[in-house]
Amino acid sequence: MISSNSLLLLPLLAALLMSLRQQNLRLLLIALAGVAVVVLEGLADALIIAGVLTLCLLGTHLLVRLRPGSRAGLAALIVLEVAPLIIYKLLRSGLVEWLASIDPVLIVGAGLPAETDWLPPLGLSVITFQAVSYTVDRWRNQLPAHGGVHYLIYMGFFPHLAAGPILRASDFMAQILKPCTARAEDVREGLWRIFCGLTKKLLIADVIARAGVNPVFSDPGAFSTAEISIALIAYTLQIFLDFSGYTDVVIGSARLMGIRMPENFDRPYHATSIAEYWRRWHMSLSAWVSQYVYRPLGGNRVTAWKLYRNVMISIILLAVWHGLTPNFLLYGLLHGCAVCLNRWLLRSPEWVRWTGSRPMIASAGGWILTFAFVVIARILFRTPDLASAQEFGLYWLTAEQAGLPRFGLAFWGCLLAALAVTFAPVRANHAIHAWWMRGSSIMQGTLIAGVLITAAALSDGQALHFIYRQF
Amino acid sequence: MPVPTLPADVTEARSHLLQVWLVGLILVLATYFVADAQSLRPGRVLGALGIEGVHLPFNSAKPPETADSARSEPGVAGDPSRAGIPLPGKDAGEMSNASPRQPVRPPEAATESSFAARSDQPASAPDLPERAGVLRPIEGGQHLGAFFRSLDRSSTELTRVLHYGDSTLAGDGIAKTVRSRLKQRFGDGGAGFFVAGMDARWMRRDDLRIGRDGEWEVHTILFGGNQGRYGLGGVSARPRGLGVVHAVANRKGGTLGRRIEVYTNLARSESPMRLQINGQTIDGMQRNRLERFEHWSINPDEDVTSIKLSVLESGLEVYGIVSEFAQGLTWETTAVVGIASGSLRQFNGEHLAAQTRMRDPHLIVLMLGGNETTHGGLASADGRIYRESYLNALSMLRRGAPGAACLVMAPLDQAFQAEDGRVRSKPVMSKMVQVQRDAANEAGCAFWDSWSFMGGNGAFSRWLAQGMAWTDLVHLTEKGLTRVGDAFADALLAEYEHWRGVSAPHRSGPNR
Repeated sequence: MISSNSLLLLPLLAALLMSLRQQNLRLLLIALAGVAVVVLEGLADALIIAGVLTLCLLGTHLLVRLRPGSRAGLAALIVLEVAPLIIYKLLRSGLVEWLASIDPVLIVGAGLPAETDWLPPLGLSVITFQAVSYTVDRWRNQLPAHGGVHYLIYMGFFPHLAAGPILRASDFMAQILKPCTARAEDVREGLWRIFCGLTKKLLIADVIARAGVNPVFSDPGAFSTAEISIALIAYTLQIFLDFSGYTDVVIGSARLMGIRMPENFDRPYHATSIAEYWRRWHMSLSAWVSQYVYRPLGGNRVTAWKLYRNVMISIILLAVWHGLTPNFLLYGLLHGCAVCLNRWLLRSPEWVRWTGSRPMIASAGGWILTFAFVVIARILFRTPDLASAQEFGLYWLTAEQAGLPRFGLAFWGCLLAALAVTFAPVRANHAIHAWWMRGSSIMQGTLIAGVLITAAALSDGQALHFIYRQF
Repeated sequence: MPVPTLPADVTEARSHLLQVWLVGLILVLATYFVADAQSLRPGRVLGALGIEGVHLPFNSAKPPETADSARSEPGVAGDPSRAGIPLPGKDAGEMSNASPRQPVRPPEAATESSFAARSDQPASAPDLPERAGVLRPIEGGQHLGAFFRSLDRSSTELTRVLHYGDSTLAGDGIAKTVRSRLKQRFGDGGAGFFVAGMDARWMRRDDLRIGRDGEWEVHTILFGGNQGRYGLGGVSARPRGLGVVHAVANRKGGTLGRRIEVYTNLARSESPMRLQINGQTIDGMQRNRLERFEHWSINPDEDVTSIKLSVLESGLEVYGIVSEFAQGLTWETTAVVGIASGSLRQFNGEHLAAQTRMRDPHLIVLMLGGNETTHGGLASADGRIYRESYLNALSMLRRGAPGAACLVMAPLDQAFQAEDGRVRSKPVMSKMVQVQRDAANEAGCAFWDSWSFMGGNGAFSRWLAQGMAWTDLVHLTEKGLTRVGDAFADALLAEYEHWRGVSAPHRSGPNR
């Protein structure tokens, strides 16, 4: 398997493809690049991806032609499209070990290796979501039929295969069907996003993980309440910077080719409610769930109880996509309840009046409660099972260790940088962005290389994978 | 098809992008051309060149903790991921086209050394040796009495072997084979001593999966520093801030032992670390505060399958962890990539001796030479300076265990690509082997001639052709290392049987 960090080299591929003048040739090579990225991960994985792609294309074509409007046909096709992903999630959640504990002969007979981590093939999650999107949009007549190359580019657009953002066919196809040429602004913007992404991932998130988060989560009992608290906040920042860093590189790479991809984050830790948090976090997945699950269930235009039901189903689905484990189920339940509570409060005129009369207090209080909730819920996200989560929580609250936090200088430096990047005011971001856009090519090249070299100097030589690659 | 004319804005965009990439590329590539900039190479964090899950050979380059190219072999890549791949089925004549890298060139002409005539194996050994029988017996087996006496009692006592070496050993290919064979015969004594806190890729153990969390400052005998305090394994590790080391048995159902020991420097606090065994926190480690280091031990009530050690005290140095049973045999790999016999001078002799005394080994094995083909001490006709260097190394290792048996393993064959494109063994090999044999004899150590086992002069190209050596022309593949390990185990077992036959009266004598 290729290191997921090597996906950070995709901008180079994007730049090569951008230099091609022939639109058709460029589109063909973009499609082939996606195929190559998947095949490099392993032939068996590539065959699974190819199966899903073929099923989606042919199945949708036959559904639209032979049984237009058939809900049963649509449901059957969607089930088939999501089946490989669900099977991988089940296997990854310990199905094989569980079956082996019941009947080892069954596992041996099925030829299943008992000690594999069952990492889904690269792109399976993204392609599955997009396959459902493609099928439903075609079934709804919201999307015309496209040629094989265009379909392949949409499904396997190489920069985003590892962890999105998830693309809507109608938005993306519109872009690649017309000549997409990167202009000066696109290139500078693309390079800016790549620079930001590399900095977030390699210079901040990875150092925080190595120097503070991993040791504490590895053995929480050895650390004080203060150290565990700091590590928990650090992990909350790390996962954001890791994921949004990857997304920045993807968006930047696409922009180098003149393609605009949807944003995946809108400063999620600025949210003043959990509902708002989910509108700002992993936005392309949230939008997908809203479009294909929440709204078909009735969305907001239903009775209060059905609304809460729809919210719970949507949030739990978002959560268990990470893994079919009790941890993620509980994570989804907690977040779902918090969103429902938020909705319930908004339906109360007294609450709306009270918060409206004290906007500062409501905003600050909302932010503190939301951020604290997100941080604490991350325990379930980071620990492998409920017992570990419980143990972590107990150590956190009853730690015997005392004294000043014993983190190293690199950790403190990167934690401060993480806080600055995450909570920087919009005006400051705009000023730095404007400075970059005016910068010379030498400055930009030096800064991008500088990030890579500094990251190598701070590293212990082991590449840390993207957290969201595993989902 | 006509090529459309591009707007000026698009042309400017492409020109800007090209310039940015060029500037970036030049800066990044510069780190690959400057030898001392190894730790700045972005490949370390991108993992871009490394294909995971593939076993790659160790080479004589530096571990990633520090950068110093002064002693690395020229032409041998520093990044393990750049290591070559074997070319099975190719004979030596085809190597000039097939080899993907510039191999090492020897400093002297490729002529037969006068020492070659003294080698037991004919220089043109036509076939590779087979495993059946003992093809390369131990020389000076009488020096292994202490080891054999201990083996005789292995059903009730533990026999400990410390195996020192360089990159040839660090991959555990040879040691794992010997360990497995001898444990089959004399019982599993557990994992024994292993280095903790170092990036485990640079000192592997086949029977253990060792990991670490946190940032660690690592000192090894390769680079010096830390006032010579490296502990038994030649490696000391100190977390910068927080640090956790964990080790689990590499095989399902495998156990590591029933007694745990930790070697650290002198701790300031009462509880400088926290030990978890099989997921449970263990209190009440017995603390043995010695003059130069601290030795912590505990006997858990159950078989150990996993160990987690959290360092709580800032500045605490961890030298290693021991996990063992009360009987059987442990074969402990203590190898540092890139070292030569002179590297052992980096040890603080008293510090090492104190830890060796505590470990109380029954046999010390030394296998060096992989990084010494250009050793200046081999330039003289009699190799006297090299012999002294080697004797000093032996003396350093045995200082804490004078009663332990000692064995020297000759280096494996190394090759270079001659001007005619053929792969030839480095002419200095036969001389180095002979000097090591003489040094072993002088120090009262047994000797096993692994070089002659391989086939002596010219062996490397034959092993390369059979997929048992890497194209870096220095290292053997897993298959090759296993072959050597098997032959060494055969030789040890045969020597043991011989000893049992002729030394029956001594078998009930003292252990040392």
